[in-house]
Order: sequence, then structure tokens, then C-alpha cells
Amino acid sequence: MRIRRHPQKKKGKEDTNRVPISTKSQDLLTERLDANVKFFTDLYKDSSDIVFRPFTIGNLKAVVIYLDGLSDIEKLDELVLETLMNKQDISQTDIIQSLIDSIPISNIKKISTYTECIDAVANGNPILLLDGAKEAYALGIVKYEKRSIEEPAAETGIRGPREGFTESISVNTSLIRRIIKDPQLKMKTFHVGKYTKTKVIVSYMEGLVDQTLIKEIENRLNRINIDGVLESGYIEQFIEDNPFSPFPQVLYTERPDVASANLLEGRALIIIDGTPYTLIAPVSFFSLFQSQEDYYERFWIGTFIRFFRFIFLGIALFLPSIYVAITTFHQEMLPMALLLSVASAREGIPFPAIIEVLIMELTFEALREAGIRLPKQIGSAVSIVGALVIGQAAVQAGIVSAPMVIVVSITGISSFLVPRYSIGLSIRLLRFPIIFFAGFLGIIGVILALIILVIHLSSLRSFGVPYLSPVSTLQKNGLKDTIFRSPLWKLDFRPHLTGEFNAVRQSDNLKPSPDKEEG
Amino acid sequence: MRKMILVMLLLSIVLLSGCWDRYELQDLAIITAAAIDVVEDEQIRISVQIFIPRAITSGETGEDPSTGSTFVREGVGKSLAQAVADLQTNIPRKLFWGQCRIFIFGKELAEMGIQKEIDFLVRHPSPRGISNLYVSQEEAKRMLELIPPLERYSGEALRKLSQQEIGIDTTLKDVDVKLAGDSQSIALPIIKVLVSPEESRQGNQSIPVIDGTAVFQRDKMVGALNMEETSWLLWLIRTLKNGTISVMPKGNEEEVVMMPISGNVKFNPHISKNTWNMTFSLEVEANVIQNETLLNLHNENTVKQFEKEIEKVLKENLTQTMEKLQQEFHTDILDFGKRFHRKYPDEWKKVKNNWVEKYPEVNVTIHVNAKINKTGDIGPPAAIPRDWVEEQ
Repeated sequence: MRIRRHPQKKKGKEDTNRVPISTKSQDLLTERLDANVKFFTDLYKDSSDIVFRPFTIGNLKAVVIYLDGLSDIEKLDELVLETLMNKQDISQTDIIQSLIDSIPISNIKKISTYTECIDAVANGNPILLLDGAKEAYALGIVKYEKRSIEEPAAETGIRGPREGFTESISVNTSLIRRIIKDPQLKMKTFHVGKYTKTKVIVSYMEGLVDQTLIKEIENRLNRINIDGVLESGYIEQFIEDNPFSPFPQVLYTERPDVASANLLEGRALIIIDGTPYTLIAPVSFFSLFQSQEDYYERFWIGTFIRFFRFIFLGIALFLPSIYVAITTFHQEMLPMALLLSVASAREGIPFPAIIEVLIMELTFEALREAGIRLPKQIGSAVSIVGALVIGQAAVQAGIVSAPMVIVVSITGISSFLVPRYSIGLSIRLLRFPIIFFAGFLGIIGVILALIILVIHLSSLRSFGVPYLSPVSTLQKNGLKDTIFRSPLWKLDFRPHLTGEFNAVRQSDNLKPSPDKEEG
Repeated sequence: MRKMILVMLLLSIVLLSGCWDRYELQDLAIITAAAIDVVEDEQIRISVQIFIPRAITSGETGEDPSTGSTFVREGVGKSLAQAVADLQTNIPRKLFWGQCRIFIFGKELAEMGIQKEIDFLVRHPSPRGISNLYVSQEEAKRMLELIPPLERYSGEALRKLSQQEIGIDTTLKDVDVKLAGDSQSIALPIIKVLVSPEESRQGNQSIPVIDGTAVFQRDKMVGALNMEETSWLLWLIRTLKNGTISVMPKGNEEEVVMMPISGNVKFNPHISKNTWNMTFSLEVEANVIQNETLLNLHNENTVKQFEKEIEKVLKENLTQTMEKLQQEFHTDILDFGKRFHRKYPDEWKKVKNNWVEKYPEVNVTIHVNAKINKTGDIGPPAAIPRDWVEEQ
């Protein structure tokens, strides 16, 4: 008996019969109202939230179909039903057009296929079917419950706007439109997901972005053929350049200001309905270490904090491994006084250093994960227990040494300094293999791991843009905004992405200075 | 399948070759200082001072200063290597030499020659080139047994004393280079046990202190300079920062004490008609730190006179010290050989093999140029009525 089977693979492309709507849906609507209604009642059989409202206009039969909770019923009653039902004079020749014209709603679309009708209903547009009409009318009175605009939870800051994206895509696009008023801001709509039909908008600044990038994004989006898109991560994982890399090749943000800044730098946004996270592509390694406040605060601060982040990136990645390497292979590298202190602390510890590090790091990771997943009410319990596990109690119990607690704590804090959560996750993950390298080969192992990392990073690309740009494939102008954050009046050029054109961002000589004539 | 093989191969890199020199700190005996003596039958005895790591509990180091944080263990063998091997059999942990920066030779061994021991230390990958070497007046092992009241172990006390620049400072690398070089002479600091009230109170509580310089011709100790001679010698080696120099002005019975702040020696080897000459030019700047006389130091002439006095004092003493090195010990620790070799490579070739005989014949001339920089906050002597002050 075969245990492993691949039923999906066997079927291959024939799988398309899982598409939910019958082939009939491509058909045009008929002129007979009862036939059209019958189609929909069959289709929405066993769906309790579909509403059919038959009524008559004079002697003309009509039906309104909508899904409960997705449309504004008050408006439907007042503006549509009331207006139409009160019509008595229906003897005109072009009766249907005049009826529609009399409905005081700005957004009415004429649709003629079943598919379009289904889409309209699913998106909250009630459809109006009239007897004798070949077309249905989708009434644009969508209204559903949504979260209000709140401060972004995962990307907080001191200075800067406090608005964050919400789950509603129309709110999100409006937030960007409110920042960038130029009509060059384009939004192209796609639908991804066989069942969810999630609206995905590719947004970019025409003239600033390389059109080949937009084409590439469109191609990659069109390739996606999955059941549903529940979060931006679904899209991200299908459009990455190197899906096996531990590093994120697409950035996400829930801040309209960050999204707009990236648009203005010639990047594209992929806005996805149903999630407050918007994807940004292409990105480089260095943009993962930038936060919006680097630009909002003065450049000394921005530069200082960026330096800081890179130092702590090194600590977060390598400190536990270097500790293991030095205490087990290269004791002579420690200054005498430190060696004696560490030796005293490690006396009587039952585990080798690498096991000790792994115990502590895994405990720390477990605590962190528990802190995220647990209901908020129990959260404080975790931190109390956590303080005991990674702390004095563990040292007193003689299970781990005090220097190890310090090492793990510093490493933990360092990994929180990374402003983008996604790269923080990569660092957490990579720390473990590096610890193993260090445990087996000492400093040579650490250096080996570093070399492998750098080679991997150099080979990575995000939508064709080298991941280490502007450092690898060096661009002088780009360097002003990597580890340093030059003054804004010095950043005269946009980052060089795929295209060559339209590089100048601002006029030069913007440095504030007293008027020469006055001086 | 191919992937599995690849994974296995990669794993074998780690599992088969890795960790071969991995030692946990708990498995190491950290040596803080080592002493090498010669015992009966010309056997070599190595004694090492080993740090006792004690678990730190609730913030206390757990080290009791009266018992010390180290112990001494020894190994004996025909050679140093055998002695070390013998030592390892007496210690359950692996000896860790990487941080041992103190090597003390017993005087008896130093007089017999230390070349074989130096070879072991230089050949062994662990001991550092910057380790300090010492000669002990008594049994070297005794120095390790001392328990210093301030430092954690006596080796540390010794190392800090060396940093004070009160004695000569010679490292393992220096010895290796110099004995292989032209001058073939080295100088090591001599240490002795400090006799102090602490020791009388408690058996071993004392520290080793520097007590002069042992001068070596080739690898054999041929004599010693006392502390005073050492300090004169140091004038020719590097700036003496912590020493003092005192002069007695003419017609005075009291002294003016000065502290050198910078100094510069220039060696000028010169050969003319088969006489080999070495000229030192010594530039000294000094500050007055104490004035016992009644002279007013704001007087320019007085200061000028002092400068002359310093020059005289230095010249006299340096000449004496040089004479001792040349005539008594025949050791070229100031690297005359190297300096002649550089300037006169052809002449050097002729005397190279009997440099020991040639060296005492070198004429030494010493020029001193002293300058008094500061005389302190006050000119005339303090706490003395104005009219007692001699303006000269």
C-alpha cells in the first residue's frame, strides 16, 4: 500500500472544475425576469443572508437582490424602492432608461452577465432586475461594518502622523490619495483568489516608477491561482524572487506616510483588501533598517540611530555565537580579569556552553512567542514567569551562568531594535544556525557563517533590484541614505531602482541659509 | 536521495571534524603565572599558579582574601617539556597557558642558562610573546605562593608592578629576538619577596617586588644591578617616568628633587682608526617637585645652575653604570652590536664572532642636555620667611 499520494498532482490542470460558478454564469441575462430570478435562487440556495425583494412599478415587475449586511438598506429603501414604487406613469416608450435615470444614486452600473451580477452582489451592490430588460443594474450603495482609522499598532512612533491603514481597501487608498494629490498616482485593480476574489491594487507614481517593474508585478500577481488571500503574506509569498531565502524581499507597512514616501521614491505598493498591511516592492536590505522617524527627526539623530541599529544587528546575530566560540575555543582572547570572572561563573554549570546558549535562547524565543499568542489578560503572568526563567533564579539554581543571562538579554534587546518586524524574524531564525557553527568550529565557524550570509545577501534580488544596493553595485548618491541619513536638503536624487530616468528629486542648493543679499 | 547525501556530507563536516579543540571553561586549569627552578640532579621543576574558580552566588565572588584564589602545583622532569608533562598528570583539568603572562626563573637556573626553557616557551603555541620574564632571587616557586593583599594573585601584582616602569621590562619575544641577534645579551628584572608587616602577621601575605636587574651574557646570568643602577640604566633605555633625580647645588647641604617628564637618547656609533666609539646624547626635561634649599627657583640663573648639576649627576652615574656593564659583566644589553652592525656592516663582519671581546673596548662618551621645565606653583621655598630666601 502506498502511503504517500499526491492526488492534486495527478489531476494536474483538470482541477479547474473546482471553480464554484457553473459555466452558465458567463451567459447573458435573459429578458424574462422569472428566469433570471430562478437562476439566482438556485445559485444562492441554502444561503440565508441573500435577500430577494420583488415589487412592482405600476404593472412592471421588478426584483432587488442583495446580501444582508453588505449594503445600505436605508438608502435602498428611500432612494430606490420609494422612488420606483411611487412611479405611476410608465407608459413612456423608453421606460427602463427613464426609470433608472430617476433613481437618485450616483453610482449605477449596467451589467449584462450573470457573473457580473454575482460579483456586484458579493461586493455589496444590490442588483435591480426589471422584467423585460436584458440588463441588470448594480446600485452602488455599499455599506458594511469596518474598523475606524486607528494608530498603527505595529509601527508606532513619537513623531509623525498617527493614522494607520485599516482592513478596508477603499479607506486605505483614500488615505494615500489624501497625501499624494497628483493624478500621476495610479491604482490598478486585480482580483486574486478563486473563492475570496480579493481586491488587490497595484499603486505607483507614473513617471517616477519604471514601467517594467509594474509589468513584472502584474505578471507575478496574475500567476497566482489560489483559493483565497487572507493577508498580504499570501501575496508576498507568491511574488518573492527567492522563496527559500530567510530574508524578506518585500516590505510591508501599515502607515500611509511610509507607503507614500516609497511611492515618491519610485517603488510600487500592493494594497490588499482585508488587511491593514500594504506591500512595498522592490526593497533593499538597508531599507529594512529604516524607520519613518529617521526622516522626521533631524539628520544627526537619524544617522546616529541608524548606526546604532547596525551595531545591534551585529550583536543580535552574533553575540551568543561569539560567546560560545570564545569561551570554548579561544579562551586566550578574553582579557585575564574577564576570563577569571567568566570561569568563576561557569564553575559548576552542568551544561556545555553551546547547550546553555541554546537552552536560554529557546526559552527566550518561547517566552516571546507566548507573549504574542496569549490573551492579553494572561500576558502579565508570562512576564513574571519569564523574569524567573531568564534571570537570577536560573543562575541561583545553578543551571545557567550569569554571563549567559547577560548575553541572552543583550541579544534579546538588540533584536528589538530592528524597526521592521519581518527582518527581526529573520535575525531570530538565523541566530540558531550561527550558534551551531560557533559551537562546532569556533570563531572560524562564525566567520564562515558571516561569509555565507554575505554571499547569500549579495545574490538576492527584490524584483530585480540587488538586495544590497546601493552598497553592492555601488551607487554614490544612494549611499547618502543607507547607514547615514544625510540632511534632507542633500538627498537630491531618488534611489536608483530598476530604471534610470527621473532621478532628480529636488532642486539643489536647498540648504537653509541666510539670504545672501541680506547678509 | 541526492539531497539526502548532500545533507549527510554537510553534516559530516560539522560532526566529524568539528570540536576537536573545544574545551569548556570548567575543563581548564587557568595558569596565572609559572615559575621554573632547577632542583637536585639538574632536574627542571615547573611550578604553576592556578586560579581556583569559585561559583558566584548571589553577587558575592566567594573569594576569601586570606586564603587566596590560587594554588600552586609543580611538575619535575629532565627538561621543561617533561616537567610540564609531569605537571599535567597531577592536575585533573587541561593546563591552559593562554593567559599566563608571568614566567619566573630561579636564580640558580638563570646562572646555568635558560636557552632550553626559552625554546619550549617560544615553540609552544599558547604562551604569549608578550609574557614578562623575571629572575627570582630565591626559589622562584616561593613567588607564586605569596598571597597579595590587594590583587587576586601574586602574578597580577607582579604584572602591574612591571607596568609601573620601575624596573626593566623584558618579554619572551624580546629574549628570543635579542639572544638570536647581534648583541646576544639580555636583562631581566630581579624580584624578591617584599618584607612587610603583613607577612609577619600572616604567613604568605606579601607580594613579589622588583629589586634590580639581572644581566645575561648569552643565556646565562652573569651578574646583577641593584635598584639604583637599574634606574640609571633605564635612562638609556626609555623615559623614566616615575623616578626622581636630586641634585645638591654648590655650597648647599640640602637637595632639590626633580622628576623627569621627558627624555630622549640618541646613540651614535662611530668607528675611526680601529677605535670603536659610542656616543650617547641624552636630552632630559624635568620638573622640580621639592626644594629643600633656600634658593628661589624663579631666578633664571639658579635654574640654569641646576640644569648643569643634573647634567653632571647623570653623566657621572651613567658612565659608572656603563663601565659596570662593559668591564664587569661584558653584556651588551643596550644593543651596541646591532647599532654598529647597521652603520658599519663591513666592519661588523670582522668582529661579529668575537664581539664579546670587542665590546668592552668600545669607548663610551655621554652627552647630557638637561632642561628644567617647571618649578612648580611657587618659586622660593615654601613656609619660610621671605628674607631667608637666597636670591643668589
